[in-house]
Amino acid sequence: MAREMKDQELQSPVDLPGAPIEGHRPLAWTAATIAVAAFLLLCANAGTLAAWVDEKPVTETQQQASALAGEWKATMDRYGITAPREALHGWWKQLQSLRFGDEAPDATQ
Amino acid sequence: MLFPTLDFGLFFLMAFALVWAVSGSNEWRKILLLLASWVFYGAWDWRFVALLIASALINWGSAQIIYRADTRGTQKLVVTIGVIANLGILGFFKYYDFFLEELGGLLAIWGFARDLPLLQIVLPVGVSFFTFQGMSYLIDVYRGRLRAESLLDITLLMSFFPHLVAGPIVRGADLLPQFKATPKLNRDMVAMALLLIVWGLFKKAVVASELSVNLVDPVFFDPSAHTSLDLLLAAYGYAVQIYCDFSAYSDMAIGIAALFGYRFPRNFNQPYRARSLQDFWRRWHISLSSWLRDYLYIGLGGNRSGTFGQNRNILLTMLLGGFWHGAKWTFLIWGALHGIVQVIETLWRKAKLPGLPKPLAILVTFHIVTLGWIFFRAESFDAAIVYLNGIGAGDWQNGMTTPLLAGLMVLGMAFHFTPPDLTQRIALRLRLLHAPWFGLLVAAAILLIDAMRYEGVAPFIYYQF
Repeated sequence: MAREMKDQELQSPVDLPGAPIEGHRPLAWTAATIAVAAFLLLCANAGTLAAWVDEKPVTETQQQASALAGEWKATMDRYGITAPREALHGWWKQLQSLRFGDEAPDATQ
Repeated sequence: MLFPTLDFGLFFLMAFALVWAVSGSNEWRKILLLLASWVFYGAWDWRFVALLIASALINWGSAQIIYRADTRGTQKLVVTIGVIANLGILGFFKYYDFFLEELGGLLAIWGFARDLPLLQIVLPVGVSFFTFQGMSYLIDVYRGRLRAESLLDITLLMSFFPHLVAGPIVRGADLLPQFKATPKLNRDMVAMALLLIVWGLFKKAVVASELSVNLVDPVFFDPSAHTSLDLLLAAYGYAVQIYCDFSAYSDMAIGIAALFGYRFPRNFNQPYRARSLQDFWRRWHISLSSWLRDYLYIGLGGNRSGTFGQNRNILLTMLLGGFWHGAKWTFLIWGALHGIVQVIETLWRKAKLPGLPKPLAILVTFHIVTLGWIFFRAESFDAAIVYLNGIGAGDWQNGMTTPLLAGLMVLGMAFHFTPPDLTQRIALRLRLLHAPWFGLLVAAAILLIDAMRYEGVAPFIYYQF
């Protein structure tokens, strides 16, 4: 050991107690988990992708990407796949607009 | 390139795929990680990539000379030069203008007012973190605790993108042994890594951002325009915000590093349940407090130099720890407050006086910490005094705090009183899931956070340090 450290320093939070699950192709499991999450977000959060592309500096490539992202969002909207995110966002906005009394009249809602 | 952005998400996906694709060769893997880290850092300012490389070269070269030197005298000379070079980089970029402005003020008072050559230097992101990391490596080699390692390993140690701009301060002793061979993933670390990333995202994008934009920033911007209750709640709000902001960065850094197979040490451990300031520093920014303890406090003599010496060392360590955060008097005052209270605690303990009951000790410690945050957050000493006077004015009307903000503050405090191993227990269950189900859960959590997050993402507070 290079230096004296206390237990809480020595342990990394990613080392879980007990015997780790070894084998079972952990890299493939990780890659599949990340790929599934990324694909689902690409569908259900298509609006964020479109907004991100639109924020980029305008170039020919950006405009093509923007058109593609817009079409993708429209398709996802049509099938109702973006609806859960929009509904959640609406509820959050309602929570933001709640007041105890007359505080924060100008706050962002 | 901020962690909670789509830019970083795409960067991470590419880096993850490429790095694991070449993992048959540990050297190529490290080279790719290094290049990815420079791309990440260069996204702020490409010029500072050269500074990062220069800093790594200085530390690598100095360590090689120390390791091969025949005499202790030569080793001491080189480690001194190396530490001065690191402090020189930090001093030039972070403190040059501050000291010159202070000197200008003093000269004006003495009747020698001069136009001093202020440089308006741009502060390289993360300079405090990578210079401290470089110094600890150098000192560890000098003390015989570490071997001098290859240029690739040292450059990667200092540049590795998860910790590069806001820590944790990962020491050579923590990371260099992990660079020896291609790391192996297991489901445990991946489950915990993804949980930490999602958890960090929530703390930063939802709790910290909402509190910052709708409560803390407006109140601290003009304390005189707000009621006592607003000032008090904004101080509590800042205590929650800075914890959720900084611990979020650490969580995400630890999680991202783990997805590449590397283990970073813990950096936070429910700091607001601390029963004393000494306990607080064992729980807050652990990588900095342990760095200060090992390389500064013990270097000054630690507790081996009598009661007076020990208290002097505590005070000096905390003052310099405060100054590490930035070239402002408010950071020095913050450090001094923490130092003075720790000196009182030491004297109290040595006098064998009875301690406070646990709940009261936690409450008192939290309020001392929050008092310190007012100086830490205020633009100037005068602004902090205006703030404190405002709290004492006795105007208890609520002008700012909405039910949502109050709820987020309570939630931010509640995190501290959950079982300390709660996330690990959740990760133990997540690791058993099939990949599609785990992927679905991760996506659902990120979607929920994205629906709640404040529009846009403010930089992390600790980027400025």
